[in-house]
Amino acid sequence: MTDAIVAENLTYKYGDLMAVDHINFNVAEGEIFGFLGPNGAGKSTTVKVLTAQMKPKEGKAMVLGMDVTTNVRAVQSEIGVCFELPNMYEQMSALENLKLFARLFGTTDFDGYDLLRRVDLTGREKDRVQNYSKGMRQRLMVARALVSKPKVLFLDEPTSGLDPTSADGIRDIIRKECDRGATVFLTTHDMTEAGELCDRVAFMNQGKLVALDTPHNLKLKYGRRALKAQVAGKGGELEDREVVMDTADTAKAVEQLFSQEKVVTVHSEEATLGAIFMQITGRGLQG
Amino acid sequence: MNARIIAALVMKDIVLIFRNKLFLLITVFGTIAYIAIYFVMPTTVNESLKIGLYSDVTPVPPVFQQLIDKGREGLEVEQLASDQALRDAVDEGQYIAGIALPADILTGDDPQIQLYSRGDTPTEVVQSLDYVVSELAYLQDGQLPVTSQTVLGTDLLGAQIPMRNQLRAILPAILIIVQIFGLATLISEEFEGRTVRAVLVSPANIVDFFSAKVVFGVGMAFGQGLLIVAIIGGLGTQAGIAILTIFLASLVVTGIGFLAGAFSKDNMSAVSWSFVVMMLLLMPAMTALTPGAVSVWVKIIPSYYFVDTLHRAGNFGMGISDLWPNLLIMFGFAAVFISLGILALRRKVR
Repeated sequence: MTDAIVAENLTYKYGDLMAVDHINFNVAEGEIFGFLGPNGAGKSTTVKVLTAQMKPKEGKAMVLGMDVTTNVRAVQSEIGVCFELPNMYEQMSALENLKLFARLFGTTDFDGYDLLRRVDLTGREKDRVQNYSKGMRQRLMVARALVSKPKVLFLDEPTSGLDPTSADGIRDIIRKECDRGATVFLTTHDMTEAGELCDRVAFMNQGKLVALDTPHNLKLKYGRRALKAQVAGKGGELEDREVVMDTADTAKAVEQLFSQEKVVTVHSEEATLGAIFMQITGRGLQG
Repeated sequence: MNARIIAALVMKDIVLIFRNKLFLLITVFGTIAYIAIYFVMPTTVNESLKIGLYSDVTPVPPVFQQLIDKGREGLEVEQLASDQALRDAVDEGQYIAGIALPADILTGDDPQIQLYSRGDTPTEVVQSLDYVVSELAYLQDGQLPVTSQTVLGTDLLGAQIPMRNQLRAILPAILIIVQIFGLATLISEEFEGRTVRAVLVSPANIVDFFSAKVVFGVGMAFGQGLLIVAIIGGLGTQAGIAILTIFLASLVVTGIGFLAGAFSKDNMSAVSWSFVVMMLLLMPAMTALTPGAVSVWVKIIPSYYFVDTLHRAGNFGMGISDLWPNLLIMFGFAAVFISLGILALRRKVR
C-alpha cells in the first residue's frame, strides 16, 4: 500500500513560536487517520501545510506523491477540505454553493441533489445558507468537501455541533468515502469518534507528535484494563469494586471477588484515548 | 490563470452583488441623487471669481490697483508679471479670466483692453467682466475703452451647454463611483465569511481570485457606465474617447474598491470606507463642469479627469489631441490604484 500523505521533519514557526516541531508520519491510501490534540497543539497548522495553504519552514510534506510546496494547484485539485468553521457563501443556496465548487474543480459528473441527500439536506437544496442552522451548515461543509470526489479528504471537526443522528450520518459518509478508496485525515476532539472510525491515530502536543498507532495498540500499550463490579454491602447498599486486569494477581483477585462478595453487576472497562492522551502528555484534550 | 475558474468566480460575484440589498438601494439612490443634485444646484454664483490682471503700464492705474488691493464683490484679482504669464495662467485654469491693460490705457484715444478666457468659461462670466472693466476704465479716464475678448485654447463660442447635457458626464460618474461600494463590501464579505480560504484551497489560486475580482469590478462599472452613457446620448460624438474614459474610470474604481475592501475589518467598515471615498470622488467631479471655478487641489482627485474628459468629448466634441493629457493621467491613476489594490488584498489574503 502506498502513502497518500507523508510528513518528513515537518516544521512551521509563527515568528519565534514553534507551532509544528519536526514531525514525521505517513498516511496510507484508503486509511482513516485521526489527528488528535488540544487547542494550540499544532493540528490546524499541520493541516494548513498539508493542504498547501502554507509553506513549511523546514521539512517536507507530500500528498499523493506530490510536494505540496511546488505542486499547489495539482495537490488542491485532488483534495477535499472541510473546515472547522463554516465558510459558505451565505447569500447563495446550498446547491449554488456546491455548483460553484464543482465548476472550480472542473467536476463534470456532479449531482448536487444526490450529494445533499447524502448529508440529509433533501428539500432544503435551494434555501439560502444564511437560513440554515449550525448543524445544517456543518453538513453542507462536508458535502462541499466531497464535490470533486477527492482522493484525500481533510476533515476538521466534521461532527462538531451536530446532533447524534447527524453525527452518525457524517461518520457513515466518512466510512463510505474510505470504501470508495479515499484517504481521510480526520481532526477531532471526539475520542469515541476517533476510536470508532480511525485506523490509526496521532497525538499532537505542543507542536510535537507524541504518539502514533492504532487505537487498539495505544490502549494496549498505555491503557489499563479493569473489571468494574458493584457488590452488595452489609447494610444492603451497593459498593464499587475494581480488579486491575493483565497483572499476575488478576486471576486470584477475580476469584476472591466472586467467592467472598455478593456481586450485583460486573463489566470490563478499557482505557479511553482521552485518558491515554492525558497519561502521555499530562494534559487533557480540551485544553 | 484559468479561464474556467475565473468565469465561475465572476458568475458567483454577479449573483452575490445582486443579492446585496444595500448595494441595490445605493445604485437606485445614485440615480435619484443625480436628479436631486440637478434641482439643488444653485442658480447663482455666490463665490469669488479669480481674475488675473497684467498691466503694461506702471504704476497700475489707480482704479485697477484698488481692484487688486481690495477686490470687488465676487471678484478676487491678482496681478501677473507679463501678458504671456497671464495667458498661460488662464489657459491652465488658474483664473477664470484675465485682464490685460495696454500701455496707453491712460493716454490713448481708444485704448484696447484685452480679456482672456477659456473656451469653456461661461459666457455670462466673460460678459460681466467686460462690463466691470469698461466701467473701471471709464472711471479712470472718462472714456469708454474698447475691449477685445480672446478665447484661449479651443474656441467654444456658440457651443453653450444646457445643464441636461452637462449631466451626461455626472450621471455615469455617479454610477461608476458607486461600484466602489459594491466591490468593497463583496471583498469584505469574502474575508469576514472566510470564503476566500475555501476558494483558495480549491484549484483556484490567488491569481485566479484577483483576476476574477478585476474582471468583475471593471465589468460592472464599465457595463453600467457604458449603458447609461449610451442611453443619454453620450456616445454621439467621440464615442471612442468616451468608451476609453469609462474603461479607465472602471479600472480606477476597481482599484479603489480593492483598497476599501482590504482595509475593512467587516461589512460595516467596508460601507463606511466606501462612503468616505465615494463622497471624496463625487464632490470634485461636479466642479469639473465649471472649469474656471475649479480649485487646483481638485485636480489630484481621479474623478475630475473622468468627468472633465466625458464632458469635453461628449459636449464639445474634443478629440484625442485635446484630451490625451487627461487620458494619460487617468491611465496613470488606473495603474496606481489597481496595483495598490491588488497589493493590499494580497497582503490581507496572506
